[in-house]
Amino acid sequence: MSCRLKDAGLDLEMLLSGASQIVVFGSFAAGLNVPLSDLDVVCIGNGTRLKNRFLDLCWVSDENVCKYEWLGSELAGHVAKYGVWLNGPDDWRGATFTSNAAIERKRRRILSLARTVSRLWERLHPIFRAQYDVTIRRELQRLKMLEAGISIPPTRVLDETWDTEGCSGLLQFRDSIAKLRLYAGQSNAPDILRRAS
Amino acid sequence: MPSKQISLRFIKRAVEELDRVLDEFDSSDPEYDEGLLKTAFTALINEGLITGKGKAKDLGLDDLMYEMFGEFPPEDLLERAQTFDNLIDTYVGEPSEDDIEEAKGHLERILDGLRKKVDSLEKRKLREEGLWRNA
Repeated sequence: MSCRLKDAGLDLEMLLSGASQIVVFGSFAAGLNVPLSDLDVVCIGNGTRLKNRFLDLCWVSDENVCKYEWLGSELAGHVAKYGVWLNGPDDWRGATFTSNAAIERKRRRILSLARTVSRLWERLHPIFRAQYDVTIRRELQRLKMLEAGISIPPTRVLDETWDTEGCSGLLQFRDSIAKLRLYAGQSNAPDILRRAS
Repeated sequence: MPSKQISLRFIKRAVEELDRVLDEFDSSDPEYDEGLLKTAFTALINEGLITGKGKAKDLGLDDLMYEMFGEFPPEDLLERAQTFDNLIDTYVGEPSEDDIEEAKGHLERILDGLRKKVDSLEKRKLREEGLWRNA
């Protein structure tokens, strides 16, 4: 971790001074990292968000960490289940849950992504269209899990599930959302939305 | 490592594209704003100006600064670009309309900075052409 922090111009001691807890999550914490994986870290305390190719570091204040909004969020649920505490007590770990707000937010995000891609399709490079194909498929997988009260696993697990289990379950779930059925069969829609059931 | 030759044409096109992003910017829809930025990158990739195509899917506004200016972009522009990317990032939580408005403000300042850069590069070019003719 300290190598990744150094690459990003930070050092572990500096982080320790501002954070009461440091938690690694995502692919590194699950031991699923590949050479190009970024390191996901959430710190409890006050600091500056940092995101680059090597590191994605976010902060939750000491005040907010015990609030309903954080404890019910998708990220808190993921960190509580898959996170590795490098420093500080994991005192909120058992208090997370999936809030209706987290589910609603995910639903809104998917609808907004679908609308965006559809509107901008002709102006998007194929590499971005392909990126949206993956993003929307993963977000649908996450929404399905959130609705079932399951903590979201690392992204690589989502991809492996998709590869092994196929798409029929997810297409069925997609069809349960009326506003997404509008995109079925449309050429300017991301793959998972334009596929026939 | 030799420093990158700064392309006036690249910066001018980036200004045009980012101007268009600003015109269509919607402070109530961060996903749409991220999409708009990708359309700007698309235009610059299609014209061969952004060459780091392999990394294109992860492109942010800060990467555009490196693409335009090489290893050492102007610090103020880079900082604003990084702040912009972080503010509209929708991964950790839903950005508030205030966050998106703040991001828009940074984009406006970035455009101001890029226009000034275009002006100074054009003046330098004219000076150099004048010197060459006099010589």
